[in-house]
Amino acid sequence: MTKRLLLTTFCIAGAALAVSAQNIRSHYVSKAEADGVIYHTFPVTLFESRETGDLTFDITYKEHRGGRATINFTCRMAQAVPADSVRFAAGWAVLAGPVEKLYLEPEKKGWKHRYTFDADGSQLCGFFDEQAEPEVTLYAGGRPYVYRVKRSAWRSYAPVGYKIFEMIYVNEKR
Amino acid sequence: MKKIFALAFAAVMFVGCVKSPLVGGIYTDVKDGLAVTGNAGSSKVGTAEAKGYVGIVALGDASIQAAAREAGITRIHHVDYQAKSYVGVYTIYTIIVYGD
Repeated sequence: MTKRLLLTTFCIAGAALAVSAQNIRSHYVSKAEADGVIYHTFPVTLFESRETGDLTFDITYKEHRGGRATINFTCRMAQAVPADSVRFAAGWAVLAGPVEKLYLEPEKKGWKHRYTFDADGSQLCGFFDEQAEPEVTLYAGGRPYVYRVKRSAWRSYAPVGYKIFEMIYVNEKR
Repeated sequence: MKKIFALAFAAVMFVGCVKSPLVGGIYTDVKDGLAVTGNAGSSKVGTAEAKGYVGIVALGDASIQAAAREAGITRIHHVDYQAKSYVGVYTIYTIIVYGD
């Protein structure tokens, strides 16, 4: 009886998770304001580095700001050396630029870094290409740190990311 | 014995309920407003979340301060939150801060 109850509960939870994962509404929020709608994708961890750990990022896009998007990301590194610039690349789409430090904070092992940078928002649909092999290169202390994609996470998230930014462009053109 | 297990399980499920004005027994995905300030405009959005597992373990910093810090927000325009729960087994509470 108890086993059956537990099994049923976990099956229902799993089904609910699977259904919500395919729905783009659970991956972003939007708010209409006087000067345009602001969109924000929730943080996702799609990249990892054996050397330094995971990289989590989120994107904020506000209409009528010249197509610029703000990408915020968190990564972990052994040193407290702030990064200078970053490059998110997937196929032909490249989002790159100098980064602005939001904060650095010590953890049990190494340091947690949080940065923000402005990128060309028109590249975002191209960036979320399910077939691409994207990678992130972070430049800190004169050397590059490469974060490679987590394939299964990318395959499930890339179509969601594409749909979100396709929707944003369609609405902005209106 | 079975009754004790069933009661314990029901208690765990109850504790696992997420903070929200509306709670679904099987699935909850609710957004709500939390606070509004007199500051004008918002071009940045920051989020922070806390997660609960099986109503036994709950971890995270879902404070407004943490969400504002994640996006470098110094003037808060308004704050929303999102509550999600999957049968009380897995719950996520997310604070969403808009500002400049």
